Amino acid sequence: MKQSNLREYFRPKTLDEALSILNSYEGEIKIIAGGTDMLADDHKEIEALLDIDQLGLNYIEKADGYIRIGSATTYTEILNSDEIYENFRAIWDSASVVADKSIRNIATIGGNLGSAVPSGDAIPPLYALDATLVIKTTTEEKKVKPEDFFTGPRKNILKKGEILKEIQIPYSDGAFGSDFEKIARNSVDLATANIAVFVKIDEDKKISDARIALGAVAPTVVRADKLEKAVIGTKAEEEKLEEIVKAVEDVISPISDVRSSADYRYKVSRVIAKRAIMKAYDRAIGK
Amino acid sequence: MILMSQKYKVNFTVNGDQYERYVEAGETLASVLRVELGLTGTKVGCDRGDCGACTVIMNGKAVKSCIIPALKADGAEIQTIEGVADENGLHPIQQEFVELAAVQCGYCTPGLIMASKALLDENKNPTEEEVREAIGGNICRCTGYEKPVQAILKAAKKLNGECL
Ligand SMILES: Cc1cc2nc3c(=O)[nH]c(=O)nc-3n(C[C@H](O)[C@H](O)[C@H](O)COP(=O)(O)OP(=O)(O)OC[C@H]3O[C@@H](n4cnc5c(N)ncnc54)[C@H](O)[C@@H]3O)c2cc1C
Repeated sequence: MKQSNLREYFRPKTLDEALSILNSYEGEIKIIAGGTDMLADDHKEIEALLDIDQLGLNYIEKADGYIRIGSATTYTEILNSDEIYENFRAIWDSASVVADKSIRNIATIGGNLGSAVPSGDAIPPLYALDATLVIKTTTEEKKVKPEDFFTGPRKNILKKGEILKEIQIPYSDGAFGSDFEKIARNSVDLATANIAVFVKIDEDKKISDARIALGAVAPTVVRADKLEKAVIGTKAEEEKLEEIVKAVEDVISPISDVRSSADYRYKVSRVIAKRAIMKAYDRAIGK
Repeated sequence: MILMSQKYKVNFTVNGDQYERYVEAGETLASVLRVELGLTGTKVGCDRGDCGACTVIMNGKAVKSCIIPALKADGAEIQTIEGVADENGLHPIQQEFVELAAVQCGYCTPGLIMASKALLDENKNPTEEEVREAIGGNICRCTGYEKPVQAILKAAKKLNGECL
């Protein structure tokens, strides 16, 4: 919708130019990438927008041992990437269930991190896949882990004059698999709960490493560290998991809201944990 | 005193015609299409990206024009419902919507047609699931989705030259 108090709109062509506008603008200035989160409401406090869609920040590139995803990469671009599908499946899966196609055509992965809502679908995969976020300022490039980036509902560490530049995710060796699951009331809704799981297996097909992150069930996405430890050595057997997944309850602190009761979120977190671990495992063994 | 905001120049192509307009910084693409260009076929329902009535095609992709800043569309190529029919008449999607009565009140129809046109432009032979995915962001509260889905699938066949 119309931004009723907006006075200026900047759409620079380079990252340096963008940073210098952010630093020199005196009033309330906000970055927009796709704008799908920003324009869903009238932000009366905002006087200027800095559109970053011309900075060349939409890319998916292989680097030495990791992949680089530009912050302004759209979900549609992610879904068109075989590299992501093959190696970072949880990201691909999450991109496939964000909003609807006409939003995915323009909404970006960086915008999801910028919004920092606890239900953001792009976020749990970044915890599970051990991503690093690269933040650019005029003077430096800072690297932070998702754990240190999100500080609360709709809050992250980004300050004025900082742009999230890219996301780096390490390639895994050996046999591995990942998955993302989302519970929502309908196909375009925000998540009631979501989860991303990454597992690696050894020669005996037992889980040797696991990373599990849940969203929409705490002020920020949370790692289920106890559960991660508990699945190691298993073959993701359903009966075993029924018991083990109770460990998610130690790390989540869900609220009741229009989407769901806290009680339901407790229960469904266990269900999606089991589902996602089994799927990630099946992918790791090549099933 | 409320400061009048500065106006910015925006250039874009709509249905093949080049336009230049001066718009406020906070204006949306939907509003420029409707108010500045008089192309009121693009509807605004929720005005916050949920309902899909305002769907247009921008640079080949379906987007919701109520959450696109007009200035983001600078330099873009846009298609609206007014540009779907050509000198030969209605587009096959439109024909099938009429044929199957996939329309009741009609408010969501332009959005549904733009979302499905974007799909058929890039995928000539979509599955039913792909059709449902493409119109997943278009809310209809009276006809339902069954007839629009059938109409889009039939239009795809027609575009592929299949006899029906
Ligand atoms: C109908 C609808 C359905 C939706 N469904 C979902 C859903 O299912 N799941 C979900 O997770 N989200 C959903 N969303 C929310 C939104 O689409 C996503 O969060 C999307 O990823 C936002 O990306 P964007 O590029 O449009 O963000 P923008 O609106 O451009 O920006 C969002 C925030 O991030 C900041 N920002 C953006 N890029 C950067 C950057 N590079 N550096 C620093 N700050 C930055 C902006 O300042 C702003 O605060 C939905 C939105 C709509 C309108």
